Amino acid sequence: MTPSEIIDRATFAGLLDNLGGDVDFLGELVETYLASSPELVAGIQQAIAAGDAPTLQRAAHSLKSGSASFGALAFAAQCRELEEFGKTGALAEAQLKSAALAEVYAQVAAALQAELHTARRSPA
Amino acid sequence: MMEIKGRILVVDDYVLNRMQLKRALETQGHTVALAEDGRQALEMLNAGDYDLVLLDILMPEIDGFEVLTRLKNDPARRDLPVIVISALDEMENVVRCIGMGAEDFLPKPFDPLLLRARIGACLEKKRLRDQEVEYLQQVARVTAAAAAMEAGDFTPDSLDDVAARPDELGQLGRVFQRMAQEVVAREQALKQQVHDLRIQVDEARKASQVAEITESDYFQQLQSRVGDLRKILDT
Amino acid sequence: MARIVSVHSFRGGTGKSNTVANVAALLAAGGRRVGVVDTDIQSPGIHVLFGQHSAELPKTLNDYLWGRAKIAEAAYDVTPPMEASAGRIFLIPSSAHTTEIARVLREGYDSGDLVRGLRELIDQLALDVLIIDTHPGINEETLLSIAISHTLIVMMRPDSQDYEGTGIAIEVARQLGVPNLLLVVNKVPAVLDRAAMQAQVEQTYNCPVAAMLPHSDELMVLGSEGLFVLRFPAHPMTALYQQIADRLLV
Repeated sequence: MTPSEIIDRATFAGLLDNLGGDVDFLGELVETYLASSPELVAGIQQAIAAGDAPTLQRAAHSLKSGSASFGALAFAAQCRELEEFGKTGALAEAQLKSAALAEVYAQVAAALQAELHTARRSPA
Repeated sequence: MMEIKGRILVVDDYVLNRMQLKRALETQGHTVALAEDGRQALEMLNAGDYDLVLLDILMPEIDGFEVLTRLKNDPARRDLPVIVISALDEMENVVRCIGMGAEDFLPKPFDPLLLRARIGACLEKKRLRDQEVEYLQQVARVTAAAAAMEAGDFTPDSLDDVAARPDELGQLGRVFQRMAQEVVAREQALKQQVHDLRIQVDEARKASQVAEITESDYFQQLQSRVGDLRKILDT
Repeated sequence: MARIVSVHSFRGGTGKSNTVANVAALLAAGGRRVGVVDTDIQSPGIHVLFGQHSAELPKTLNDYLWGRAKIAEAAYDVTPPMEASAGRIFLIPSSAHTTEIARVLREGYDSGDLVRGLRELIDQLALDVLIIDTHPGINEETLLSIAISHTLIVMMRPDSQDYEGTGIAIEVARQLGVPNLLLVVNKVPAVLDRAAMQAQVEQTYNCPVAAMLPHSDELMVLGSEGLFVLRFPAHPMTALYQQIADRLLV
């Protein structure tokens, strides 16, 4: 996937718009996302391994919500599925679905940094 | 109409949500406090005074349902409005929260215009309810003042804030207060009068008037015969 | 032997007639035969409280004393309907015209004759108590009724206009040797501390107060429609009137 397929440009631009074009604050949000998401990704995998469905549900829920707000829609959809598995206790399905989660997240993180970089260079 | 600004408690365990909501709400002029989970939220609600709570549902340990239940079971906080934060795919949770007494819900991702509209409507409703509650309380104060007036222990300044209202109730409060003050003043003046009531008798003038009577021929004659007259009646 | 009681006030409007009528009613309710001599029939007075009109009172005490009427003609049984009681109230109107007094003096009807007439009245009506409702102020007739009384009640209001006149009546009664002097303070505003005021009145006149009667608009309205003590036997005001009645029998 190219960065433009990983991050939905319209959603990303909408977020910046909602922030009144404050790229610095957008940057803070992105940094916070990048700082907190690895923990959530790891949390999801640990919860599946430990058979802890509620923790899986919550971690996937947060990661879905954060990812969706930046326009990482495909990743958010994957997280939403995991959240649903956590809710229903379908841990075996969750295990399958989460196999490549860290790799997908790494792509999202890279794409997001690229989008932020572009936004910073664009005239306000 | 000027938008109402409120003190808002945001409860969400996800840092990104807290950041975004804080930023959006502060941009709209509200005062924002943040709680990272249900336990912290309950502590802050006990310690502080808020106009509105923005409440996430999925949280570890004490979740949004639990916070909502505790708020609605607390008579002092039952009327504090709660807006549930929710993704659009969790409508069954939203429905459950509204059933438990939540005022409204706010979908994620956050839209500033929708946020402004929902928060504004909620605060306006709360303001009206607060006014209604205050109105009823002040009506009760006037009736209590009337009872105190009857019992004689009315304190005039007990209606100061009712009298300060610009509406008809304020008018009633002012008129009542003024009349009560007049009555109290009159009673105090009377009490003072009695306190000062030295039964003043001009002794010299009294003596001269007594003398005028007792020196009369009729009185002298009567006095000399009074023993005989009584005998007529008593024997 | 009948108790003679004069009720006096320095000026009108002290509630004298009202007090006399209610005290008489309580005495009658207690089984006493009570005569009430009303010397003030010109003003709307005590007879109205007993349901009489002056036009219906053709004969007065004076007619009886002058031999112009029999006692039965000058004494009107005004006993109100009461529960089983042998008590009665007779109203004996008396003319206080100065012409009558002048006539007494001119024609040599001396005070002895007057008192003998009263004695006859007491005997014929078998009275236990004779209450003389005197004319306000002090005239010769008032002095006579004070002089022959066992008890003089001076009624006053808590009003500077009454203080001196009350003192004069008390002093004159002392000089005539009246055995029991009592004060009744009427129309005491509800806000006043009655106990403190009573103490001050007693100290000023060196004379016991039989009752401090409160003023109230409610009483004014209720009291104007007949005998208060019979209509409202449980009212605190009735207890105060009873307090006065009890002092008269001692």
